[in-house]
Amino acid sequence: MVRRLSRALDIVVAPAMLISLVLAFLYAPDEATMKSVYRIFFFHVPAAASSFVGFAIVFVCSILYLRTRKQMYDLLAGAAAEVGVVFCAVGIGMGMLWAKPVWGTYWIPGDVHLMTTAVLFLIYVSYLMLRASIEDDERRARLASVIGIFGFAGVPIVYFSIRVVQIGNHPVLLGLEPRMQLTFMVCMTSMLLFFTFILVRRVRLELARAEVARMRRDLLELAYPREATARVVAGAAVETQWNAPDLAPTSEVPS
Amino acid sequence: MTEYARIVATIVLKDVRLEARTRQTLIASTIFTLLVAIIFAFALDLAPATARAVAPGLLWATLAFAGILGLGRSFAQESDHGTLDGLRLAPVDPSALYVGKMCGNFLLMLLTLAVALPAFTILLGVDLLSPGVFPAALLGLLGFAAAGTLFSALSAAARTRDVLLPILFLPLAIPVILTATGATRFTLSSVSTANALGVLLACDALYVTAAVLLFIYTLEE
Repeated sequence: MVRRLSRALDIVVAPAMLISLVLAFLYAPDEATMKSVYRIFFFHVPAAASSFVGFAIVFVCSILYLRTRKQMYDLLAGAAAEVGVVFCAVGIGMGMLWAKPVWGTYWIPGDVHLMTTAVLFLIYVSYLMLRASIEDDERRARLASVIGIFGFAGVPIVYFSIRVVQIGNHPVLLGLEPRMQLTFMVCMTSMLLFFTFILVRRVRLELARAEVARMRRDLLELAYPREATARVVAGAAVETQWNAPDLAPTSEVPS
Repeated sequence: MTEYARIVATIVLKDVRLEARTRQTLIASTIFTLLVAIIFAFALDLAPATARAVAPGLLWATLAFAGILGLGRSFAQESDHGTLDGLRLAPVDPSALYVGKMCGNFLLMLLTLAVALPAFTILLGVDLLSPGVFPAALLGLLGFAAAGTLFSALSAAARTRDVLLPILFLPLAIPVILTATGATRFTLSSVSTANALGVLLACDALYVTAAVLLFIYTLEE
């Protein structure tokens, strides 16, 4: 299923991105005050929106993992967080590039949207840090799920906390001309496709990694039935077993 | 319900007794607070008007970092002394364990606050001891304790727990820091704090609820 989806995306994504580039730079008209500068909007908003989709996937998968304890959900949550963080960084970066000529500054410290997005970014960076610092699969999945849920639940609070203290000047909705609207829709769709494309690739990589680990275990099991079981039970490193003279590879290894 | 309260009280008393005998965390966080207050006072050398504008932010940043010192110890010492297994095996509702530990951390932070407020008042020359400051301070520290206790339990299970806790805790402490800072600043300039306190209350409610529901998953082994 994953592979078929991946293949379909392989075919669709590149043309979709190309079409959005053409539309954004050639088809959509100049904006009244910002002229061509506003065109980054066609990529800035979809990138930020895709990252939010990623974080929502982390939230849902974290809940599903804690309920069902299926490894697949943890895998998906981890992949979505990674891709979401990258898209979030891209979205923030493009927003800053846009803000410099339009607002005259890269960053407005009190702005609700900027701060919320920045905090969101930090939450998921810390989520990835937690994942990186725990080796045990089950424990990593469980604790990461806790952060995945708690962090996402905190987002509205982040928003309102900034709202109550400061007043934002980030535009929420722009009045769009029909041609701009069409371009925006296409760009949004292709960015979401691109996001899914990377996400699916990431999931496939994890699946392949799990498959390799399983094959390696099976092979060791075949080669040394008794020791392999002992190794799994004791959780000892494979290398130490190989160093032991009576466990050195013999002709029993199946070809 | 009374049974639940009794369990919570037992855990809080255990932590209080431990702290009363060793005083490790308390001394560390209060001295840290004093040091930071002194450093700010010297490094910034503020005019009275500027001091009033920045003191709330300095206060809450200091409280957040001092809080991390205590929060880090909260579950790390349970895990070091092997008492975490005792808590795990205790035939009680796991959420009671969380509430107990959270109250313990909250008390510790209150003591830090009791040092921080006079220190900042004296060193920065801003009246942070006015009664209007306290509601925001109490609600803010409750929010810190609610999220911090969960993350303390979480990071105690990780290899790099000392660096992990601030990284996990601070992003979600930002709303508390911002709102509490805002409320304190509003108080100093006699603006209504009702909205800020409302957001703080909502934040506390959400953090406590989410943490109570999720705490059980940090204890599994």
